[in-house]
Amino acid sequence: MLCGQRDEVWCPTFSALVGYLKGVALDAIIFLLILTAATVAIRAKRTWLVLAFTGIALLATLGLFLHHATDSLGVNL
Amino acid sequence: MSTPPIAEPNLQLKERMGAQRVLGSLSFWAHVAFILAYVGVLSTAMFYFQFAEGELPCPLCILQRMAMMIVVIGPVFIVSRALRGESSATSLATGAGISIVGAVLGLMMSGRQVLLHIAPDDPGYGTAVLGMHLYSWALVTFLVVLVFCGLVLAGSRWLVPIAPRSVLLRRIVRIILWLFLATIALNAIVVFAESGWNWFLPDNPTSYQLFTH
Repeated sequence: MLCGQRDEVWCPTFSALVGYLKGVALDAIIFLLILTAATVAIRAKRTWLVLAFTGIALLATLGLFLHHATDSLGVNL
Repeated sequence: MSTPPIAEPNLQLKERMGAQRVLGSLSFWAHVAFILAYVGVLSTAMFYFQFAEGELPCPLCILQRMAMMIVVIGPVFIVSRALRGESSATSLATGAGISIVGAVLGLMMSGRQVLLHIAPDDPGYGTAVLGMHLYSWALVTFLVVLVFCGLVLAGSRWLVPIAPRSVLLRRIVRIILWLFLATIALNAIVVFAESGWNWFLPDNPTSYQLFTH
């Protein structure tokens, strides 16, 4: 079942959990991911590690961008 | 009978090595300038427009800052490798690749914001600098990055960066690298203050929610 359907068991539980927890500023978390990637790049020891951390930061940024881009249009991806 | 010239090939080799050293050095400082330029852009956005002028960045503005930082990770890697004496055409390509992907991401974001405000009579978001808004300038910088990386990759055979030997110059470069890290850390703190205990930033932020809610 797709997440978003009201009769599905998991989603209300998840929504309740998210509602119970306070938000933790996703933007700040992504900045911390970028900070980690930049620190690994400054150490410049292992290329794959730099690529891995930068890739994670990049995907997180892309995800947040897609959220904002689709949210303001009322579009569900 | 004339003796074959022996010194000439050595001279050519020396000249070639000298030219490569100059190009390598230029490449190194071009990448340092790249980092410094973006640290300057990010600091101006934060210290002048956000703190002095009181213009709170919107979610798309923050995303463009993130893309700029990801773009800078490329030259940071290239310069750090050169400082360690492990510079190569491969590390140059890796760094340029990171910057290109980051610049494409940034182009998507700044392009979207330009299109959001492109309609006639739309005042745009924030202050205009030299006739263009900050997101339009961001788009220009991402395009410049793409051109720069294209040129670096095209000439990667000759543009392997060579770090200076001077201890002072190396220290200055390291300070610039640490400035970049400090810029990211400061942005993380500021965006947390702006967002407060919420998952996402509001579309049109008017206050630092950490202190007002």
